[in-house]
Amino acid sequence: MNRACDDIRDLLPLFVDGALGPVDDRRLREHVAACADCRREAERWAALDRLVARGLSGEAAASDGEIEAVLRRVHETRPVWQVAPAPVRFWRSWAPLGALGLAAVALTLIGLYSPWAHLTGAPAALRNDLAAVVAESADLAAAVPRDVSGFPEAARAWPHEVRHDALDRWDQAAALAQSALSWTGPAPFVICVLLILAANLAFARRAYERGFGPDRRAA
Amino acid sequence: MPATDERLAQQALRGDRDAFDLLVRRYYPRVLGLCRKLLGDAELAHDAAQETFVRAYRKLYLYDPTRRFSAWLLTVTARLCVSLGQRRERQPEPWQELGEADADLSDSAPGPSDAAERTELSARVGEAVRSLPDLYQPVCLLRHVEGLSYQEIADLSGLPIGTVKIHLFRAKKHLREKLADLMEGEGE
Repeated sequence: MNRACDDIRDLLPLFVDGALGPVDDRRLREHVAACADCRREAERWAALDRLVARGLSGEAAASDGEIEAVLRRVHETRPVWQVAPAPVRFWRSWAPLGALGLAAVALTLIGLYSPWAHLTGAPAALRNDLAAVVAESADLAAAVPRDVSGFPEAARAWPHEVRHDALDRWDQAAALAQSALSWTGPAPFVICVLLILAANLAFARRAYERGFGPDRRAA
Repeated sequence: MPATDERLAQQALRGDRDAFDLLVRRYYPRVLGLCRKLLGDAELAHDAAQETFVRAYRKLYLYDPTRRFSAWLLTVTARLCVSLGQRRERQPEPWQELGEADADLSDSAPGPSDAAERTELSARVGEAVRSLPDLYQPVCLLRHVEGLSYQEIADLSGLPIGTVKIHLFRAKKHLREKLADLMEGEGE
């Protein structure tokens, strides 16, 4: 046995299984054809494969009664994909988050437009600007073409005034947001972040409970 | 023409219980035979074979119908037997005599003349496979029982092809050491 034999001995089990890449496979094929020792070694690995396959082959006798018992057990099983999802309790659903968001919007509108708005300290300019922006945005939305499939390229084809107005609305919205922020302080933004976090947590929890957790993945 | 396993599995997934029943009837003897070899205990093998089908039915949604159903079922069987084997090692049961277990390892069809030899071979190979590290057992079975290629094993098990090669190489070395005496007469 020479050095070349040493190099290929470890590859022989893969070679007899046809699991080598084309280059190694050709190299071993040529070597085995020329070297009697390695040919014998390859034959031993192939013999092992045959032996193990023969030893593991074959079926066991199974009576009809046994098979019926298996079927009974299978029929008693409700597979994961047929189990209806458990009803989601109110406090674990999205409803509280939606209700909280609606309440925030309602409170803001009451604070701005109720007869007692002056008590909230909301500047009159903000109220007027907001109303104006909403009205103008509605007009603008009506003017924008319905088909936005090619957006933003398609926006180039919009009438000049529409594009100009859209930019104006954008500036106004930014100014309004700044004004609203000076009135409300950072609290709404903190609430938004908390809402997003809570939504993520709720989603992760539901996903876990529906069987994606690590303890339920093993087959 | 009889329906293919893969088609039956898809029908079962759509709620056709008879389709899965047919798969159980087709594969129970084979799964039971494999469980006996992997566990070396007839009673435990019956439980394992039953549990294999229950588990396969419960997890049928994980089966990819583009792949061979028999290979997937075999993977479920091998994993279950490995975990049952581990549990048994942790809690050895005194009534499980080795001799009694080995006596029941034979395959069902008793051949006329070579039955004893076949029983011996079956028992020795089963014992050698059982002595493999748990990681190597499923890939070894997929290769030697199902005859899957390395790439097919990698696809089915989710292991990288390089890992499959290493597992099989080590498994073969181990089996060769364990079965050296049987190989003397195996076409050398």
